Amino acid sequence: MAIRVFEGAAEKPDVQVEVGMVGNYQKIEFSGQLIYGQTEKAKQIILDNIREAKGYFFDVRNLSSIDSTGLGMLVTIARRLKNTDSRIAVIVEEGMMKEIFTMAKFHLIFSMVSSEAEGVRLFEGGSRPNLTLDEY
Amino acid sequence: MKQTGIEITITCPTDLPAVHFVDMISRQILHYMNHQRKQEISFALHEVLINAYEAVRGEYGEEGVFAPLTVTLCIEEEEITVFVADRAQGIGSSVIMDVQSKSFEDVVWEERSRGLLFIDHLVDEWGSSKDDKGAHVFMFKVRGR
Repeated sequence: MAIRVFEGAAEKPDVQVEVGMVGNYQKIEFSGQLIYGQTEKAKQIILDNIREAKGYFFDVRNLSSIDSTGLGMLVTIARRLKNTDSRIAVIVEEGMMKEIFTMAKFHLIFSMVSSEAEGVRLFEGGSRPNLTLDEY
Repeated sequence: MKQTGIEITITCPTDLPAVHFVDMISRQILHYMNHQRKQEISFALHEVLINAYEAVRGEYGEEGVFAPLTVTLCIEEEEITVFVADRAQGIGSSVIMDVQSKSFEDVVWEERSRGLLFIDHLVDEWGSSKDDKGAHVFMFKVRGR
């Protein structure tokens, strides 16, 4: 039997997801680590709480880390929401997190904004992403 | 023989707590060194580790936890080389060709297929081979201080 020496480690990865409304838009706020081993939990919380809205925000400002599986989960949620023809904006601050989103070309499928207010202005202005799922 | 750098090796079970432990320790080491590319190295290493974990679990199932996973950081003045050795079969040539021919734009609406692309973008050199004990070894190198 393997010795579980790491089970009591001080820094265990965890993700928290808060879902709420900002006017006509639903905001999904992540904090902690959206990484391998945590994405299923996050996805289930979102799917259980998602409501029909004019648009959605993925707020990742309080995430300390994300990996390829976390990014993939955001795409999975976006594919589900695509059926409602709603717009999605990612709220992200400058830094490594934004670099990762940009490297992954997420600006082609999501609007990238730095605040809710900027996102609302963008939605109200009718902005659309460059590459929709239908065009992909 | 001259020793010019620092070599740190961690050998652990191939399970998720150990993977996260290696993540944390390597982040601490890179932070202590104040390496200018510490975030890229940590991100790339994490992707290599989860690829190794998935590959070992895919081949051995729950028993995979008993397979050793060995991570070595070789820290030199001008570059860091990372080796991750696992007991899976390694990366197929078709996967490597895929990475070389695909871009993030090609997979932008996909749930998977980004891990190796990130590694390819974040590090200066990477490769996959077998060592003399039959372990699959993934190597990547990052230059700079």
